[in-house]
Amino acid sequence: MANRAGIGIANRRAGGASGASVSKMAMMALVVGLGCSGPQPAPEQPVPATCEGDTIAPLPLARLGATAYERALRSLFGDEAINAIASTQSTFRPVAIGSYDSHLGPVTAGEVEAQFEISSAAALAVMASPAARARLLPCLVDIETQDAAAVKMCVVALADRLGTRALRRALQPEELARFKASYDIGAVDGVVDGFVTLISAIVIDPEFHYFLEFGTTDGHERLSPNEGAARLARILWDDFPDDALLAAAATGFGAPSWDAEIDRMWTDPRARHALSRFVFDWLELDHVPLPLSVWAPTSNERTALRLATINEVEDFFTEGVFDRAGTYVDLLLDSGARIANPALATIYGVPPDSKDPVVLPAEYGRAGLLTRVGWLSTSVIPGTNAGNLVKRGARLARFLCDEIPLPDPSIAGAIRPVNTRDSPEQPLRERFSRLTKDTPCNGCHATLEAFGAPFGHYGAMGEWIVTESNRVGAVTHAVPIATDAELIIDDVVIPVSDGHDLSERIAASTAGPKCLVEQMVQRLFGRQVQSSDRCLVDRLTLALLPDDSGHPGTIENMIKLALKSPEFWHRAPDPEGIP
Amino acid sequence: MKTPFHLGRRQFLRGSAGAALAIPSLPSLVEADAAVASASRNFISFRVTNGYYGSFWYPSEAALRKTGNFVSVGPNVRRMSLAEIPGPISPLLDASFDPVRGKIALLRHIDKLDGANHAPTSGLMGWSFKGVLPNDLRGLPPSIDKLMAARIFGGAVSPLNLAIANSSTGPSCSTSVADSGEVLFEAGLYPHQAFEKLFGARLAEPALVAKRLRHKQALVDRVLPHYRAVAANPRLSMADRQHLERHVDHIRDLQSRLSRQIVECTPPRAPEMFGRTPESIDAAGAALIDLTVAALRCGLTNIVNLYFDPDSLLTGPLHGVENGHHAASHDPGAVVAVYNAVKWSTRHLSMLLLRLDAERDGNTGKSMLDASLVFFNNEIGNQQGQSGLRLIGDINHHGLDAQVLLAGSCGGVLRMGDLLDFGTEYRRPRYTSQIGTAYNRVLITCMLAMGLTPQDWEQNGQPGYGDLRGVDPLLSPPDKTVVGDMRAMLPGLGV
Repeated sequence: MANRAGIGIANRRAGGASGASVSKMAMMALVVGLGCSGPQPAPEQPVPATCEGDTIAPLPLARLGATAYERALRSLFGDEAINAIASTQSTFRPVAIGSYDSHLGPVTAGEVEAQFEISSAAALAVMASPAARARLLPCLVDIETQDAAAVKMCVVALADRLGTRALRRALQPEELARFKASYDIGAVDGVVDGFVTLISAIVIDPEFHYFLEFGTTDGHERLSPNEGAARLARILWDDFPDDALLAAAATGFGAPSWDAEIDRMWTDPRARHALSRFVFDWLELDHVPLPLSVWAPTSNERTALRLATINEVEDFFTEGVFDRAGTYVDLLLDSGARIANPALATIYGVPPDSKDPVVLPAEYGRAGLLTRVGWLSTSVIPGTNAGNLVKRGARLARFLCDEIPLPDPSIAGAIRPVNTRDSPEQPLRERFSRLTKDTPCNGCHATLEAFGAPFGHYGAMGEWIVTESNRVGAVTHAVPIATDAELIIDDVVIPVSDGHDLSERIAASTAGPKCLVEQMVQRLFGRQVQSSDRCLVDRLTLALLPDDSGHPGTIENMIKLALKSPEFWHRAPDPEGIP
Repeated sequence: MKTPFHLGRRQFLRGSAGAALAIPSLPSLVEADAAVASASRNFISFRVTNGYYGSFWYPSEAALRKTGNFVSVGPNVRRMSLAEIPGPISPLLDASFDPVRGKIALLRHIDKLDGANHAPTSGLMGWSFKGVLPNDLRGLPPSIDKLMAARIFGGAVSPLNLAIANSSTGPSCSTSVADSGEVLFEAGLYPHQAFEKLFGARLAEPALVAKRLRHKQALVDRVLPHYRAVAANPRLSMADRQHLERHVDHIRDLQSRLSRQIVECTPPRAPEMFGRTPESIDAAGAALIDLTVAALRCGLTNIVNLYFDPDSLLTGPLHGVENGHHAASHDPGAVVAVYNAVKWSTRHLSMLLLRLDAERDGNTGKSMLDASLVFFNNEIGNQQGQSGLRLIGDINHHGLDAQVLLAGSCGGVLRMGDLLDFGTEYRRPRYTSQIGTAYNRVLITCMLAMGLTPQDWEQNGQPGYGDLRGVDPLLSPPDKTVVGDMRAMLPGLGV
């Protein structure tokens, strides 16, 4: 069988020694062996090459997505003003073209229209609220009663203050003049109208919506300090730089230093929120189906259960990273949880009224992420209580960055789909297997079924099931579940017995941590990982793997390492684009 | 690599409901008349999902035998008047459609050539990105609604995209392809969002509304050159500049839309802020129909795309759809659930048609439906087994024997009131047995009816729209599926 997981990564278990860990030095040897063209480390050095000097593939032009846009507006104008325009604000809904909501293609007509509507509505909402005015600039509070000179000063102050925040850098005189001229548009009808058009003009500016990176004046390869600050705030916070970060950028990150700013920003709740969003996209939590009424009778309860299911996975990840110095091993094996929803508690088999952290019952095979309801839940397969092992298999493949292609429609059309009401005395796994056997689909499906089978004791909602209950009419067949499978991880065939065992294997693998790193790099750069990112990916993977004393690195450290890497500062224009 | 497809603009005269538009520059009065007529038509697409069962959608075999009046109108095309069918047309096209029976055309044996599947692009673009083809999407034109907006209305009309989906991030069918090949989806709006977009700025005093519009126009005029300047900055990469140039194009269109005169019009009642719950989707669906009619009546657009995909918001107790609509589309035993789900959509379709027909032009007496083209379509095709005779699911996610209904004569351009069967003598081994005519021709028919000409969508003079390669020689063989004249309407539909 072809290598399916851990492509390009050395076998951590040479000889199939299950559970053995790979040392960082072994991984380092691999990094060097991959042939990065930058300066190579001496063998005794503890870190591999940085690959500085390598050409990094072009980065797509980043722009404000729905979350970052709303956050930026809230940051500029406050919650009261933005809450007042919630309906208008919600019409800006760019659809991501990649895995992450920050990965956007060119703007659409509807988005541009929404941007103009929102800028106007936000400006009106600010000027309609004394509190919002005061928050934005004290001189706005009673601006209608001020004389012309005071108004003029306020216009300049607002253009400078809001322009600097919105454009994420100090303004040039001609930019100030341009914004001041926008005041004149509305001012023919009154002072307040003037400020409305001024505010609107600032938050419709191309440099507000786009993260334009022109680079330093001495070359095109590095970001300017302000551009670096904007990129950092966008990635770490889904937001704009705050005053402290802009001040640090003004010193060229001399004081406080770049590293100190990252550490400061890490403790801000926005960092946690942005990481939650990463988890949501990475684990495709938008696909968690609405639970059936058997789990929650009313639609409100079903909606609440779905949300709790998603939140539990997000919180498990972020609390592990921010509060418990979590490692990749913890991510896969930690069975601690906080379950806020009674129906979800019932599914997990823990007390429904517990407000405190709980340990998920070992008898249901729960461990870390892969045995959480949010990760396991699938759409219902008619006629059975079993979860969809093919969908779970595909999900696990993506969790290991081993994407399995979609079915070829020219082949799929010739194959009759599985009728889940046929052969109810057989487990679903066998029925899927029989269907694809001796067909061109078999290669991928064998992998999908092997990846999905270890989770066989979890029903469609992720609940523990002892047997498959296959129903045909009034008759129900109780069918034993086989969860054993053989998988290829890190190029080695590994037998696994169930979901918990599989979690342990992946926790001890290189393919698992490497995939998390690749996803993080995707989020960082806003595009698919490319060959030119290999050095960064390998360095970050190395940071997650156990050191020579057997202690794995924390996810926090890996993320910070990415933000502190030379690659972060690299400006990578399209080589065809620069004259 | 193909050349990217860029939308140009045709000069135009007048938008809907008498709204004055830009200054015309047309070579002849005939063209001018045609442009006026085009710009007063409406296009409304209504997209539903997860397939259908033909025996609930088409007239029954018994009814067809009883009438027996199919007339050949050309090779592989037969026509029968819907008026001849006794009783309701079918269980899905029930008696509620009877008042507009003479204003609809039911098409049978229309085949999508691509992989179809659950892909919004297959509805109004004639191809799907799911599956193995097409590998390179660059250069493909946008969806037909966008072509209409650009080429008939010069960008002064933007399609209104409305959707019911179980996710707040659901796209619409209004799509385009970036120069780099990615598919770009416009968002589908829920009722309160759509109301805000359409009428939010109009709720104030007329003088205030006029003032704000004037400010917005001035702001757009001021912002546009700055965007242009930034897009031309040589320190940006080519790709970045292309992104920004696209933005400039959209602002220019917006500038043109803002120059339209405001039509005196009473906004409808603001819809509730519906949640995405099973209990609210009926009301949300009705609200979207209300907003569609109001937007057209008030001259706020001439193009509306409805996308109804509630999936798990359709429930057993409320809608007769256990486990969600999508799950039913994968269950050969869930025939009734699929029927109930499609019925939920066709109830809204009938509501739309009746509402449009009730809106009358005071001068001509013609209805808004008469001036419109409604295009109802399903993302995937007939789920029934061979010949459609047995009620057994042979579930598939292809678009074979696609569910297509047209309504409204588009200002007298289209002949309505018929069942048109495009089946050929050829058979396929699975699914609907009769091979039919390419779905792409339906899209071309819609564009021609709305007033586009082939130059508006073709590239390098090459006839055709969408992907005509097909994905499966067994199911839609290119030598047996009818493509025909790709610059003409489907036979039987032209007046």
